[in-house]
Amino acid sequence: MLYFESKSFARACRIALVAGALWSSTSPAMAQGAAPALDPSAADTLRAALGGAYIERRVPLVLTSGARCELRLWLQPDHIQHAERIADAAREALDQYSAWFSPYPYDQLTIVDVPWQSPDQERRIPGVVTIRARWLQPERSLTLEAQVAGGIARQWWGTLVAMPDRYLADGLAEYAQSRTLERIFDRRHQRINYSLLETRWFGGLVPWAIRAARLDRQTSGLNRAAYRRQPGVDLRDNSEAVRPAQAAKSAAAVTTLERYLGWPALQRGLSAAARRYAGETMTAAMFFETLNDAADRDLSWFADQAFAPASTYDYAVAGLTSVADETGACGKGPCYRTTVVLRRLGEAVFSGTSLAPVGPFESGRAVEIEVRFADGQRSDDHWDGRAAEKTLVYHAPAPATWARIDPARTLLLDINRLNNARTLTPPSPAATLPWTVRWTTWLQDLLLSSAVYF
Amino acid sequence: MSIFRTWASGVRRVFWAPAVVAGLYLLTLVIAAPLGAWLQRSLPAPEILQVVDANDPPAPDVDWLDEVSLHVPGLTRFLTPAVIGVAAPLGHLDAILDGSLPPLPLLAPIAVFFICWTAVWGGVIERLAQERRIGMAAAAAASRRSMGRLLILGLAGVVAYLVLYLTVHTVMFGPLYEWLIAGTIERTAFAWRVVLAVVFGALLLVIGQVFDFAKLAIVLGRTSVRQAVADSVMLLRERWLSVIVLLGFNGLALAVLLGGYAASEFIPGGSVPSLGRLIVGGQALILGRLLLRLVLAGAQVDLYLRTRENRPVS
Repeated sequence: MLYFESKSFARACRIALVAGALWSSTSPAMAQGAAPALDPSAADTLRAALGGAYIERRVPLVLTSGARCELRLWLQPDHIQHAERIADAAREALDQYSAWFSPYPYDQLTIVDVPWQSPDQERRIPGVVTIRARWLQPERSLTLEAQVAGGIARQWWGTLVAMPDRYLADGLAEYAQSRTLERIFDRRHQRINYSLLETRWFGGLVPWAIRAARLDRQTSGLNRAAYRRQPGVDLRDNSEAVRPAQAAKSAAAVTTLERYLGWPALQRGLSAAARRYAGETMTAAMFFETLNDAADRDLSWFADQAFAPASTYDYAVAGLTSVADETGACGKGPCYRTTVVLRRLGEAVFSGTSLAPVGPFESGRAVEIEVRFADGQRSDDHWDGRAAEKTLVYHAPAPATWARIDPARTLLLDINRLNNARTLTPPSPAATLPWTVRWTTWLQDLLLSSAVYF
Repeated sequence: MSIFRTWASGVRRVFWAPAVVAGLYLLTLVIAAPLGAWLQRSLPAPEILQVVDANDPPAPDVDWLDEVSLHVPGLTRFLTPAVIGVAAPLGHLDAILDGSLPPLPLLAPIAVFFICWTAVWGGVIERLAQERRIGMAAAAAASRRSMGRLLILGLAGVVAYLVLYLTVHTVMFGPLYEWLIAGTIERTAFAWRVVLAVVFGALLLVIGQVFDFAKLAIVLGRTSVRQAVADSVMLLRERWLSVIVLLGFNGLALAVLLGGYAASEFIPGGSVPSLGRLIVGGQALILGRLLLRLVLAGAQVDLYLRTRENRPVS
């Protein structure tokens, strides 16, 4: 299909935001800078450099805002069956990012499907996104859509807004694609997930989407596994080997902000940054400065820690005891003294404020603690997370059953969630038994498969 | 038609030998279950402490699993999403074609299984050949009689496979594959890989059949290892088409079994089944795979016996 240009098309994709809850494009403080010029021959040059045969598809997109944009797909001949999926993901991404960040500045977007054997190479070309589609792509595994949405997010973070801090550009793109994919999965499969887990066999040529393994955007969607394996990754390291871990850490930091500030506040900050620095260079410091303005609070306590070289977060419930108390602290009736020991195992602090503590008084309450008691009562407490250890003591008519730190999983940068809870009642095996059953069956099958050799 | 009768004879021989099936099934369970229990003990409770209804369990938390395999020592290192559903058997079949070894510590249970399997295989063949109850004593005697030679043959087989993987597989799926797919599209690469897999799979099967029929010659023909291999090669040269068709039947049956297992994930509640359904479904797969292995052995016994009967006495 061909899209015919018209005069009104000249201002295509200059979108006025329609969602009232979102940061308005007419906000006086947010005058948008000029976007880098679109080079009409850039995509052709890239295609010629990549070589190989391409099939071209042109899809006219009309975004929710009414803006129009021409999507050009240059796909490998054996990937042409994915054209609809790619266009759908591109439409969703352009729609969402235009609403969240700032209007897409060009009237054209070209998606180039890089030949599958070409070496990985980053390209930041205005209006051009490169993806690496695969011949076989399971419907419920959205790895293809993730590439499209991530690539389009880089049109804002790294292209429209030049960003010398690579980790931040990658992190924002990862974060943005995770949100977009959740919407796509929800729309297609009526389920709030990021994707199904995809595994590949036969030299990586045959994929299989594991139906039971539904991925969550705030963990797998941000590639937390990469961060978990290199929690102390230096964000200033420019080698390609650490890039996935850097991106995952940055994305987890942005998602932590989303959970701590709330999406509206974070979205205001992202929108402000995209508009203020359009066509200009934005450092990490400038980004957080803008975020501070938009959220109307000082977030340097977080930025300094989260983006410090090789910083790691790890909070743990190190101890939980409940003993009968004979001192009468609870008045009449039974009384139990419950002691919860909290520990900060990482060097990074999640305090909630930059203000220093005064004397014995804490400053900040970002770390939440939840303690449950046998009679159903519950206590919610806060901690500034600064000290290496903190002990909480409760007197209650019933013993504690369990204690949890960061129960809402706000701090996605915490590298070990397994030590975030302790229980005094033996945990039911029902939660882990399915894994044991699966693994035992897997091992039996491994034995039988090995029997082909003897 | 006669080869179908051979395969049907294999089915019949296994059908009338439930103790053999039960014994070998229990062998897999006896080796795997204690390790499973060890794994269960080392698995931490999920962070979200919750009441879990065994009939409506939550979907597997892949991120939690990743965290566990990273932070908790022991068998949890080998607990990955690849254990879920049909990904498990497909992954194992892929590993055979890909030449990838299981994690090194898991070679220990495989070695135990190899020794136990070899130890009882003489009795199993004797039982399948007799087509009637032979009693524990006779089965044990057959096992004892042939165990040493079967063990030597088994070890020779392991060496043969190692040589095959280290030479032919390395060349085929290394430089040759890279050369074939250079500059091609993915679909063409897939076609080339299928061709290479068929060739390599055929080599694997040829070696497998040589050793399978050699085992029959050791147990039923009471020959030496060297003579057994020679007899096996001769049988394969005479009856190669029958053997191919037999393997085809078994391959088809395996595809149906795996297809059924995969399809069970698509029925309502199938992707995250209840604990009971998980156990029943998984063990049905194991039993099915074991039955297919035994049916092939039964059919091979039938083919071996008929070939021996028809061979003129020299």
